[in-house]
Amino acid sequence: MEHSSEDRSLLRAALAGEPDAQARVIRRAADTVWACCRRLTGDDTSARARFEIVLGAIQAENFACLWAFDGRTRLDTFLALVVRDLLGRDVLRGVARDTAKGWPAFEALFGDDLRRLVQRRLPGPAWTETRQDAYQEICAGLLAANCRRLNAYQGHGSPAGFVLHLSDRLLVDFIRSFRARRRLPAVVARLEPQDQKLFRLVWWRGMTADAAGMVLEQQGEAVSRAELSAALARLHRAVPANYQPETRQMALDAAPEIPSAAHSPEAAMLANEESLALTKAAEAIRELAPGLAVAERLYLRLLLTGTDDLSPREIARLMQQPVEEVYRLRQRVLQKLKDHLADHPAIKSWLESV
Amino acid sequence: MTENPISRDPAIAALLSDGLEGGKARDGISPAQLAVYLDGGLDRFRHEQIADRLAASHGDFLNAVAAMDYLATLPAEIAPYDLVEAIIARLPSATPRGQSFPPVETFALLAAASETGSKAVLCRSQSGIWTLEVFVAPDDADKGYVLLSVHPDHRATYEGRCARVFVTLGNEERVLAEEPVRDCEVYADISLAGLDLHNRDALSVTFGPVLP
Repeated sequence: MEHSSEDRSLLRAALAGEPDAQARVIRRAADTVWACCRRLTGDDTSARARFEIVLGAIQAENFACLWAFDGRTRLDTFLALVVRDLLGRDVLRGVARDTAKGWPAFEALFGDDLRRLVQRRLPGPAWTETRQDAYQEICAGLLAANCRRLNAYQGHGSPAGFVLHLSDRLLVDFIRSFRARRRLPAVVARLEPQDQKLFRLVWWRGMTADAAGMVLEQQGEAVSRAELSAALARLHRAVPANYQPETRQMALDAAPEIPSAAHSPEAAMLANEESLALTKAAEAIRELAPGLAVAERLYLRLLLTGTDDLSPREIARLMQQPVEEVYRLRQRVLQKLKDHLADHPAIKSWLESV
Repeated sequence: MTENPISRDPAIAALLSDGLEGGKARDGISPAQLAVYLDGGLDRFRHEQIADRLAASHGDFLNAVAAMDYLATLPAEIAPYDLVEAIIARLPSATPRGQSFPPVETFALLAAASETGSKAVLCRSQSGIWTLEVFVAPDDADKGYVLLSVHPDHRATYEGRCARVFVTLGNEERVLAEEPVRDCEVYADISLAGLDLHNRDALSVTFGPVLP
């Protein structure tokens, strides 16, 4: 951050209205702003138009949006995030004005973020097809009713935070709905209940055999290593090699006209029970959270959102902790979580219900 | 490595994360605060404040992860020279008086200001329409609270504007709090560690633009 002090003086002079300093600020900021605009638009012609809009916003009220720079960060980092914020607001305004014209810019700005969000929530090869469905479902939810959800943005706080939070709620709804409707393949439904449980843990929840064995043990159904191997062998024989969890999703307003077993009163009751168990489990986390240190809470947030696409270095930057400390933190948080999950009746009931 | 018992099921992990949501709504983390956080420019106290917000607000958390990715993948580009120079050529040659930022209020908050009779109040100072008070936490002498309040007659001028409370140490500014004015007040936790508000370090406040 060797230039931060110099940059701070420059920005202050610009804020004080000195024309030379303002010109230097524009030259200093131009490459970063251009990179942001070029990334958004993908072509030079559109980027030039966007560049003028963004620099116009930066110059507004005598460069007021640069007031917050105080030299504790690199100017390029600061500018990139300020411009990202300005672009986010502009893109959301564009969607509100004209959805058809505004949507491509929306996807250009937020599409990668949404895909990474989906990747984090649905990691691994087992969910490959589901991830595509999930992305489409998020987009459909955002576009529904003339972008009602997106148009609820009032301009407070980060536009990216608003969009991603909203999208995550849609994603969670999607995941919950297909999960509730998922049914065992007929061949597996004919196996013993313990084999069915193992199937759910390994095929649906993506667990390793050892981890599945641990969960069965936690649920009071411990199996020996030999029994586990035998059960897995039975399952591998029964389950088709190309098996994919049944996850095709239907929009809520396109509900099936023909009642199916998945929508029977029994299924609804089970879904309600599970929903209640999850609510109680979330309450258990809420009870646990205040007793955790700030870094532990933040790491728990990270765990619950998913870390599949984040490298150790990225996690360390997000946590602002050394990589080795993040590793220790992980051990600590998981241990506390296990201790808490094992003791809490709501969690026990939730574990039994899945 | 310890097996994560919950992350395997996406629906459960997603629902459990609701348990971490903070109760009271707060202003989100601004791009400037996020930039300082991600560049490691915060002192320990301010770092914990931002980390706490990230842990308590899913929107802020997702924004921070996405911002980190944005910074990492932003390509190096050079802006077209003609475009930049054309914009500079359109700059006004001088800024009209009274329109420049930032309007600055400086509070000289030293020991003389603290004749309050209350041990909890470290110092109190009034500067025009503003009153600034610093309190010491009852259980931790290094921790305090700052309360900045504006006369209600001037509410319209200051409401929503970001106040930065800082001390100048040598060439550096140590920022104690950065919060928008809400209901004529700014109230924030601050770290008093290493400060000598009685004899050396005067608190300054500047006001930025209205935060969206």
